[in-house]
This record gives sequence, C-alpha cells and structure tokens, in this order.
Amino acid sequence: MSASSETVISGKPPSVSSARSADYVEKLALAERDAAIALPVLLLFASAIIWLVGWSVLNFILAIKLVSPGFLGDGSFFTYGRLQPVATNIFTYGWASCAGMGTALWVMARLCRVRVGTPFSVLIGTAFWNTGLLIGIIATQAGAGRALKYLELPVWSQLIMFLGFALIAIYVIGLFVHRPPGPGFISQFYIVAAFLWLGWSLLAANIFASLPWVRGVITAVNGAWFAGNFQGLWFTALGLAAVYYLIPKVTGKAIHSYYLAHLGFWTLAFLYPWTGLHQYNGGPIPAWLMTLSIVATTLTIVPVATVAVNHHVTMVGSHFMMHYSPTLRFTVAGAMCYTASAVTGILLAQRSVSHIAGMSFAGVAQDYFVLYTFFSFVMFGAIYFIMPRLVRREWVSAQLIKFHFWGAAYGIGLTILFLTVAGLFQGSGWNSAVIRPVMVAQMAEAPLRGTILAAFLLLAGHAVFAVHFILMVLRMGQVSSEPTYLASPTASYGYYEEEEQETHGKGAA
Amino acid sequence: MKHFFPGILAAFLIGWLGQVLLPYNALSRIDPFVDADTNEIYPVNVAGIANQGRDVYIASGCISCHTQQVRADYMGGDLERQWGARRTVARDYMYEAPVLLGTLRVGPDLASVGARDLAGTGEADLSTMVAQEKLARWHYIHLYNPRILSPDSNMPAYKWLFEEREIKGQPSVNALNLPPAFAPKPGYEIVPKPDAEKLVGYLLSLNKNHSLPEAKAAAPAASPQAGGAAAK
Repeated sequence: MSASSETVISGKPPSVSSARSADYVEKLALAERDAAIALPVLLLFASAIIWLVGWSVLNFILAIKLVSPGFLGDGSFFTYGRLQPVATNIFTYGWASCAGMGTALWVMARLCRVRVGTPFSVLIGTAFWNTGLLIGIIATQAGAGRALKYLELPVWSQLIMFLGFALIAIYVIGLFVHRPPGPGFISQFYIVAAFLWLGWSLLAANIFASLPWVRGVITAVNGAWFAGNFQGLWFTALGLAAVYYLIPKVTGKAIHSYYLAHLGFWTLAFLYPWTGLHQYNGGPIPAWLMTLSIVATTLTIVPVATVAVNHHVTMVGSHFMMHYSPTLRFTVAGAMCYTASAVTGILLAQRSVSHIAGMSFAGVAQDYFVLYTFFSFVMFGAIYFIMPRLVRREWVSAQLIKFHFWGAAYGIGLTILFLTVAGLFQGSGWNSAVIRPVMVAQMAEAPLRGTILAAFLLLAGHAVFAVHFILMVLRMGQVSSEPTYLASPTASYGYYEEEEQETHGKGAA
Repeated sequence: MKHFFPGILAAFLIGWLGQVLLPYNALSRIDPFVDADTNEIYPVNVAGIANQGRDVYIASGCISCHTQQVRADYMGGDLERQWGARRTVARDYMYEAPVLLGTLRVGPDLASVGARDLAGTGEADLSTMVAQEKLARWHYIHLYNPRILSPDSNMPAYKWLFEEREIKGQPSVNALNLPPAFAPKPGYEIVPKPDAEKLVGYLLSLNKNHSLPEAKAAAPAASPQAGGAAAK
C-alpha cells in the first residue's frame, strides 16, 4: 500500500514496484465490485435468515403437533397437513434458495472480475421472489395448495417467484458471459448450470402439471422428476460451487485435481436428473422407470466419490484449520455430509431397504440430511466468510458462532437420528399386519417426542445466528485485521501437530 | 468450454425425455378396461360430490400423512394388511390429476378406503344404502375428532368442517351422534358442513379393488372382520 502511494505522489508510472502496485489496483477494483454487489447479497442473506427463523418456529410447532394433535387448536389455518408443506417450502425456497442465490451472486462477482450493469434488477428480483413465496404460503394455509412435493404453492404465486428468479439468474449468468477470457473456475460452471437447470425445471414441471389432458400417474412422475432436480441440480450444484470456492480460499491451496472436478460436474449433470423416482418403489409407476431411477441413484456414487476425493485431498494438511476457522468448520462439515447423505440416499433407493424405510419418516430424515447437514452447513460457512467482506467488520463473538454451530449440529443430528428410528419402527409396523394402525403411531411416538427437543436446539442455534447477523448488519462487528477465530490458529496447529506431521508427506507428494 | 452450454442443456433434456416425456408417451395409451362378460367399465371418471371431495382432500393437506397406493407384495405388507385386494397399477389412476399417491404414511393407506369396513358393520356388501350410511357416520365422527373412535390416534381433528348450532325445532337428521364426553352443550348439535359431506363422499368412493388383467384381485373383497379389526 505504501509503495503505491509513493508512485501516486511522485507522479511516475509504476516501475520498480509495478507488481505491488498492480496488486493495489486489483484490490481497489475488487473493493469496488464488492461494494456494488454488497446490497443485493445482503438483502438475499437477510431474507434467507428471516425465513430460516420462521421455519425453525414452524418446525418446532410441527414436531409438537405430531405427538399432540390438539396443540394450537383444531382450526383450519394451523392444521398439520397444510403447515407441513408450507414449512418445507419456507425451508427450501425461503432459507436455502435465498442463501444459495446470495452466495452464488457473490462468488460469481468475485470470480468473474467484471461488473455488468447495475445490480438493481437483483434487488427487484429478490423482492418478487419473497413476495411470491409469502402470498403463496398464505394461500396454501387458506387451502389453495396443490398436492405436488416442492410445487405445493399455487401456480400464480410460483409465477411471481419465477419472474424474480429470472431477474437474479440473468444478472448472475450475465456476469459469467461477460467475464474476461479464460478457462473459468469450477464454481462458475456449477452456478451457471444450477440457475439454468432450476429455471428450466420450474418451467417444464409447472407447464406439464397445468396441461388439462395430462392425467394419471404421470403427474406424480413429473413431480418426482422435479423434486429430484430441485435437490440434485439446484441445491447440490450450488452447495458444491460454494465448497469448491471456500476450501481453497480459506486454506490458501489450489483444488487438488481439475480433471476430477470436471468429471464430477458432468457425471452429476447426467445422473442427478434420473434420481427422483425411486420413492415410488413397488407403487403404480411402471417398474422399468423405477429400476432406471434406482440404477442412476446407485451410479451417483461416481460424482460423489470424485468430489469427496477432490475435497479431501485438497483439505489434507489443513484439517487443523477447522478448529479455528468458522467458515471451514461449517463448510467442511457440510462437504463431509454430502458424501454421507449420498451414501444413505443410495441405500434408501434399494428395494431391500425401501420396502421398510420407504414412505416412512426415514425419507424425511434423508431430505434433512441433504438439505440441512450438507447444503445449509455449507451456506452457513459461506455467510460466515462473506458477511465480513460486505460490511467491513469482523464477526462480533466466537462464542455466538460456536453456539450456532453446536446448536445446529446437535439439533439436526438428533432430528435425523430420531426420524430414522421413528421411520424404521413405522415401516416395520405397517409391514406387520397384526399391528393395528394406532399401535404403529404409538411405536413411532417415543422417537418423535425426541424431535421436539431437536427442533428446540435448531431454533436456539438459528436465533443466535440471526442476532449475530443483525449485529453485523448494524456494523457492530469488530474492527480488526484478522477474522474472528473460534480458537487461536497457532494453538490449533499445535493441537493437531502430530496428525499433521503424519499426513503432510502424503499431501505434498 | 465451448461444450458447456450445449452440455448442460443436453443433460437436462435427456433427463426430461427419459423421466417425463417417454413415460408420458407410454402411460397416455392406457384405456379403461371393459369386462368382456359383464360389459362393466373400469375405471370410471368420477364426477359430482366425490370429485369435489377430492379438492377438499387436497386443500386439507391429507396427502401429508396418507398415501393412496397399494404396493406390490414384494414391497412391504400392504396386501397382507388388506389395504386393497390387489396392488394398484397405473390404469387405476388414469383420470386423476394430480394423482394423490403420497410419499409418507403417518396414517394408513387410503387407496381403497371406501371398500374397507371401518365401521365394523359386518355387512358382506358395503355398497348397500344401509352399509354406506353406517360408514359415512363413522367417517363424520372420525373426522370431527379421531380420538372419539380411537383414543390414541395422532390424527388432527377437522372440526372446521363441522358446525355447532342451536337446535331449533327438530334436531337435524345429519347431526353427529357423539358420546356424552364429546357431545356439545345441551340444546346444541354438531352438523357436517358441505365440505365434510364432499370429503366423506370422496373417501367412500375410493375403491381400487376391481380386478384388472395386469393386476388380479386376490380375493373378491377384503374380509369384513379383518378389515374392521385393523381399523381400530
């Protein structure tokens, strides 16, 4: 910085310190681009966190209602059957998608090094998205919902959301199209593809579902295809884009293998659209379709293993950083859960497992495994990384971050555990004809009571996260030259020293 | 890089072709089955109150906890549980949009709930007026408050589908016959609203037990005793 100031004062073109001066110009441009993009990203993150807190409250209410059906009265507005899909929509379209779009926008602006027009359209887009979602939810609560997973909201409210989505997508893809020539980074490919895939999927699924002559089980096939794309081509792609960006950024190392990264991308692209249908195993859908879906789901082990190996080898020698870096702790935990959730997803698709676990709470647990422990953890990591760069303050308190991490980790861990146990009781209960229906519900009741505690932990963790976020927006964060660490980096290195010495040789080789 | 946009478009389109368009092409060729002996047609496109009840079923979010599919015998105990006389197949649903297959069973399957003797009438033929009346009354009470009929049920009560009103003159013939602990205050009665009538009409219309060439019914009808016992 001082070198650059000198050249400015002396009026000479940069010569001796040209390298450092170029660095300074680059940093200045970066700061400008960050400032331009700050407001839309902040708005998307704020929306995401408001929806997340709203979801946490609903999730808590729903967990209670499942064991005490009379809780909150017997009115139509708060009936379980309406509240449950609304909660799912708030989680996926409200929290997860807003956080994903905010992260994608920021990562894209950073990587493309270009400013395309004004991000004003993103602000309007976000407003449309949130408005469409809100009135869609109210309409569903009032009884206008549709019976299609992830497409429950009335089609007109989805249209409002889609217009907003299109505005955001056009801006993000515009950044990519107008970037300086170069090979591009893997996160950019994932982000551009995710936006196009979700846009196409939303259009195709909604138009197909609205055609009056389309009747019969094909409507369920269409819905399941969309649900598979929604998880695989939207959330998984956005989540992996963030992981591929954050791990090298925080550890200061390059991605281990670019070849593996591309192999993972293209196998994901061609396999994930086929994975949605296995939930109807043994049902009235042609068996060949189901078998195709089971085979495709099993083959997803290829992209999953490729991505897992690539992330792991990049991380080798840097795992100690998870001890002190909030971003890395959340992101790497999420990336590990991507592998784990993919393996359980493959297991659940097999007929030998799904004749018990299919159509039970175990399937709900699997959705949380993908959308929370993988995707949401990565998003938390991204928000912890990006926020200080938006508001130019560091996070207020390491204690609050730790509370959020452990609240979320225990909350979701227990949710998944209890739901899986409840699901296995439920599934085996339904399969034994001697057990009466009420008994099946009673068998699942004990673990379902546990999910109330889990939902409370999630609510507490998210409330702390929201408060911390508000403090950051109010610029009450620390003014510091280094990030808010969860522990001292040097002490952390010592803590893991023995392990590092063992693995270091492998990493360097 | 020049393969990027065509590549992601191809990945999407191939998936859509294989998962939606080809199945649509195959499934749209289904015709109703006409029995050569009796000239009976199945399935029929339900109209009237049962079809309106379908909208109430969707609006109330019943699908969040109930499926409408009897799985094949190699996938779970649906048939053993006598949720239907046979597995359900694509033809059963050819007139429904969207189909209400469901993905989670918090409660029992409802694919053929109209053919199940939940009320324990013991009648061999559930299509008679008397049997239908008894079944309808069971469903009304069960929807009004499931815990009247099964104290440990975790199903929500659908009280907003009913009206509590003062008895003026003769009590209504539709008024629910509730046990004293759940009865309204003296001089009042609980009557189903039109939505409740539609929903019960729909539930009673649900019957996918008709034998089809691709899925033969195991028995002509589920034994009433077993069905009644499983319901409570």
